[in-house]
Amino acid sequence: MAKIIAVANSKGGVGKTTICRNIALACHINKEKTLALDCDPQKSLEKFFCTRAERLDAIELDCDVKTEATGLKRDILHRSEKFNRVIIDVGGRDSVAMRQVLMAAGVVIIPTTTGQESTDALEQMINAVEDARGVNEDLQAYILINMAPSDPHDTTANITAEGLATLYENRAVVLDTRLKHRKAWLQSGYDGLAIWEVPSKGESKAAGEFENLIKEFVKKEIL
Amino acid sequence: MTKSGPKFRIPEKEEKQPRPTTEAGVLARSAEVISSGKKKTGRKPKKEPCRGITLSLPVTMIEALDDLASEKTADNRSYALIGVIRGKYKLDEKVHESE
Repeated sequence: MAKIIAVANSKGGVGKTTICRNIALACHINKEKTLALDCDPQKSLEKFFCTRAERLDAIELDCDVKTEATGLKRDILHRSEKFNRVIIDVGGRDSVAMRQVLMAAGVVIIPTTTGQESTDALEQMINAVEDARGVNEDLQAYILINMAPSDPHDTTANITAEGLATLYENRAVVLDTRLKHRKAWLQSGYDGLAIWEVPSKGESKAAGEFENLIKEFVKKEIL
Repeated sequence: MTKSGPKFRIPEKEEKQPRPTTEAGVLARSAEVISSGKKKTGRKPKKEPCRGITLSLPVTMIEALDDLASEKTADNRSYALIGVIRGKYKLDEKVHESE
């Protein structure tokens, strides 16, 4: 049975699509039969895979768009029968589509930034997860701190992580890995690249951080 | 003087509700559905009374109605007049004396 992983947050601009496409590509290179499903009306995930397909002149993994909320849960479960991993990108608002995805998924990754607006908005998202657990009891929720300050002396990400872990204890797990604000993420979007494919002078810090995230996913049996 | 630096302010907690037990219940709690519901249940505008009716009243009564309107009915003389007709408001006794 496929693992269905949603990347969702009712707050926009927290990096959902960027994380989603890299998780999907990581699953693909790990030889998992992967479906990337775009449930965001902006269709950013689909656009990325179109850019990538043009660049590579090939389609690596299935990317589909489903923005119609009606029957979405049933549709996801039906499609997941043919895959090992289904990675879903959801639009940044508390929509019916987001709720349908939460009822179908086994895991939801909730990216958030360290900004006060993002942490304030998390309450609504965690409540949506709690609602979904009413019919999807085993839904696991993980908070991922994204776009953390890249200054190694900055403690904002640590303070935010500790605060969120205390606040949402028993409702969501704050992941140990943090993704930092780095130019490589923007570059990957422009060029249709996975984060580890972005050219770098030395060892790519962004790629290293993402690799750590995937390792943590494997360790926690998320992927 | 307050110390500057990174802080974590606890977000305002929403009132905790019991988990819904049906799919329809989960969907009904989405902000999208709640906000669309509010639009549908908006109050209808009240009809303006006495539209198209012209009343000929003594100046003293009109002045008294103006006073009453500004005091009790947000400057709507028609409402004030209806209030007087229905016995809700009484005009100043001086008005009656001058009649």
